[in-house]
Amino acid sequence: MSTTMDVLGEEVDLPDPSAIAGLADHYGGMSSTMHDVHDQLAGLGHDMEWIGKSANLFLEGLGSLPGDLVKAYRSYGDMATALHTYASGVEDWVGRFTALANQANNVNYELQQTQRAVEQGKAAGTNTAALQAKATALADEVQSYRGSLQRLWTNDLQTLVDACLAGIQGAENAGISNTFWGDVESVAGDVGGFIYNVVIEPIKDLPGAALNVLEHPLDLQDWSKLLQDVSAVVGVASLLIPGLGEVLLPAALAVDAAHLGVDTALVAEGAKGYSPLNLAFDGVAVVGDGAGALSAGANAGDDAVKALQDASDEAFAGAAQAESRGLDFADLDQAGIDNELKATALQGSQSAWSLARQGLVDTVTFKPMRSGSAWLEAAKDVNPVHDLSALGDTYRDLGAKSFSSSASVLMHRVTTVAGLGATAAGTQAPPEGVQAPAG
Amino acid sequence: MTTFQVDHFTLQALAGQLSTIQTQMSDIGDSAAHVSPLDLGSPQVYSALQDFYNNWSQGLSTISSNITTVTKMLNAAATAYATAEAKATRAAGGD
Repeated sequence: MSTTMDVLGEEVDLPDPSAIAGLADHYGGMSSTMHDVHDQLAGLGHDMEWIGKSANLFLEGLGSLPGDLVKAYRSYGDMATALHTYASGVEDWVGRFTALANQANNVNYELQQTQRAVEQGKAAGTNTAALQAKATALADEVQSYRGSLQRLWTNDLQTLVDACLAGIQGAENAGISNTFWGDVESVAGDVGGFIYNVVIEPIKDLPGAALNVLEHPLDLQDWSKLLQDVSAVVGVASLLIPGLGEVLLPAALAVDAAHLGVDTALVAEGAKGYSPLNLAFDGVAVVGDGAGALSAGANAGDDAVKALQDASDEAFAGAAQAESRGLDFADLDQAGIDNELKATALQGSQSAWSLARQGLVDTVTFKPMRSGSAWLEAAKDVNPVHDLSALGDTYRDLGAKSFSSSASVLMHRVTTVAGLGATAAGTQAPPEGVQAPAG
Repeated sequence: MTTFQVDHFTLQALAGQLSTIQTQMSDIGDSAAHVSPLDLGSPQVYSALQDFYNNWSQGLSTISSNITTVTKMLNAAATAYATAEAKATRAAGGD
């Protein structure tokens, strides 16, 4: 709690070093906590009794978390150091300021007493020359104190403040400050880490992916990554900018078709990290684009959704079958367990997909049967992004991070189809007895 | 044959620890908001602290969310391994 001090007739609020030190302790405590979390995660690959492909997959699935934690505890540690240094400096400064202010107040009191004596001497008709000389000297001394106090405040304290500000800025620069991408995340809605890891991260990687292609124009894997990221960019743009999804559909179709072609070539040559599962997801994206493009006409929303659902059912079923083919408990090995995990993930994803599809069907089917305001109310209950975030969570829960960008592509397709379906339905004349949408 | 080794009880225990730490992080809050500019001796420092907190809010939220996800992953892995072990035990003629 700051204290108020009377200094030469003015009230001055003095900073509270203990409050600053307490704040420093707070940041230091947070730094220590995050350091502990980081160390526990880092110990997973070394101290834990968990070895094998799944353990590796899990460690890969940690993504940026370990690095983020390092930045976080270093940044908060730097902040704690800056504030501790500042608190120590302020404590010393408060001591010096208080002592000087007390001296100034004493001299000022003596000045006031002397001036009063001068007035009384003049009233009594006595010689006050000596008193006046003393008062003048005391006034000069008070003025000198005032200057010293002013310098203490504006120079010495400000020097401490500037050092503290530099320390805070350094701590902030060492950390993970909010960026444009963070703002995009908040605009996209509260879908936890899904948006960041699945959608935003690919977009952040886009410049690097483009550079890799420029440097290695013959490397198909670089092309695959670039096309994947471009597709994700289209997906995010469709989410954030109403109507853009429809405009970009032809380009998205071309990009996804190219992506499917490149991945097919990579799978054919047995490239590491590429499997028929990639092709299944790429295929769903292409079919989704086509279905979305076809849904531009009235009443085509249902067909588009159904086509997308059929394509996804087929893709998921085929991939699940392929991935679980090697499961044999008589010869249980790591690969078998991994396959079982993947199959479980796919089944869970299919369920999530069905839920999302049902929400879309409800939107498209029932929209013409409602008034404008009723439809808007109903539309609030349907959130493809939210529903599909469950799908993304399922992927991530099993550490299948390689599916992430495919999931973002799927999300883009679903939202695009939903938007087109809703637009198409909204252009129809309302059924008899149903009010037309306001406006 | 690929070898693997896992102690799913340990995984579950770690998941519990991470969950506890994540809760602690969430509870810490922003104590800077409870310190007045007068305590700090300068509105500039107060403003810088607010900027720091605001610029970290997204990052902390992301970290917290990721810890939650990692906790889920650990729990899911522990459960999957426990299930597989039970099936393997049955396949081997056990109870």
